[in-house]
Amino acid sequence: MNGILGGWLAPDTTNKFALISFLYVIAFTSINIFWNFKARGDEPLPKLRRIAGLDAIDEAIGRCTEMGRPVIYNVGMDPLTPPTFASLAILSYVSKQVARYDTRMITVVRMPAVLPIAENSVRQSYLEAGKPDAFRPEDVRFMTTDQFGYATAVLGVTVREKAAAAIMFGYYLAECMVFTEAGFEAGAIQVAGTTNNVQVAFFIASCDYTLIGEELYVASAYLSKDRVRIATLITQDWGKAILVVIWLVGLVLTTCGSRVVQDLLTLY
Amino acid sequence: MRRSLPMALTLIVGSLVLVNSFFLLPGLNAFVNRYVSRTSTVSMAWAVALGSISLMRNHFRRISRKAENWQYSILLIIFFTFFLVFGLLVNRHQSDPVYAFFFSSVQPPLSSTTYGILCFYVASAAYRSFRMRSMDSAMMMLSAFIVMLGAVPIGEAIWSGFPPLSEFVMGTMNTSVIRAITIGLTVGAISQSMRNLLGIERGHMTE
Repeated sequence: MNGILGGWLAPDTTNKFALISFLYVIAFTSINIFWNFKARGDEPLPKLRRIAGLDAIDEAIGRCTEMGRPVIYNVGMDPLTPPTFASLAILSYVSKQVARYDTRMITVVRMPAVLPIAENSVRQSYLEAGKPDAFRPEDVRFMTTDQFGYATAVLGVTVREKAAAAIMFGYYLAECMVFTEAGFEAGAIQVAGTTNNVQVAFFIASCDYTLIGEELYVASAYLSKDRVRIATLITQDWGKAILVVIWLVGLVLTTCGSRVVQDLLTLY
Repeated sequence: MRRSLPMALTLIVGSLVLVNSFFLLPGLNAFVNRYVSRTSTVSMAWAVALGSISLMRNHFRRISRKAENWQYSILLIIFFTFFLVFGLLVNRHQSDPVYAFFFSSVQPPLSSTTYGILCFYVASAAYRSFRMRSMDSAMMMLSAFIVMLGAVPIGEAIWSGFPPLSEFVMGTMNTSVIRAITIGLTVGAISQSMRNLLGIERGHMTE
């Protein structure tokens, strides 16, 4: 293969999966383009299964509105990575809802690079809701980049402001228990989702609703019901189906003593 | 324009980084590794300044409004100014004994204390969630019971089968499920990145 591509492929020769990764990205993009075109038509798309954690967001906002207490939205611990972008997409939805119902929302941010984007997203939502004056810049707060300093700061805000709902989406580490116990102390309904598998168990144990694994990445399509975004979810399922087929074929062939699949996967 | 320009930039820069990670094109590799990465670092540095301004703005506002516990805001501003001015005056932060003393004597102990509190939080959350209200919570309780007893000496004293059983729960049952979730997460991350790259996800952009 190196000969065919003139030695261009895989600058990092330690990455033996460069070719298969590249082919996978090409296949993924092609499927996405196909479904994007279909989504722009009138053809019905597959139905999305119900995700209780995402349905609970509206319930949590409604509770805050009734009680006259704020929502705490935590964007997560990571800088601008896929889980943070997924969280920002949900933030956009949540801020539109709170703007519509005149409910206060405090957004807490750990990474400085996320701050202007989060602030912009919330401001935009108030603008779209026709209430630009209701936006309070001081409610989008950068605390500190220090992990436990941030945890303590969020704990303080949650308890002092008596949040009635704590929404936590993104990437979380060991400090997630500090957030959820603060939410419990404040009597808040808690909805969380993280891409860190280790912390999912802690969220399940301490939150009312938890998104597990890739459910975080489907949130923006699920909440917006936008057909083009739903098309990306269908692509996601196709992407998984490809991996399952490779896995099954590999399983059978390896059991039969053949190394064809391993050799193909590491060809570069 | 305010939305289309960032979208175009995202698509161009994202595509360059993607191609760079797969192909050996000396010119492109050098450009991405030297300039794109540096631009990212510089942007992050500016973001720290923005974050600091936001932090100061919030705490000055708290002081001027005499909000609850506003005295702590004064403390924060004093420490912030101290470390900022002192950090600008000394050249080597890590090796400067005075700077290192103030930092090491304050920040790590406070972080460790918060980390230490976690064990009580975990116990409290476990107490609330490990109640057998349904089949799911009963299974969670049972597996937690096995894993906990397998990890402590008293478990082995009660029954020598606890450690291998705990190892089976963690190494076989748990790992296989975690790997399945990880594969789903990876595909989800690709999908999320593609939505950002193609401008499908644009809630964070301004009209």
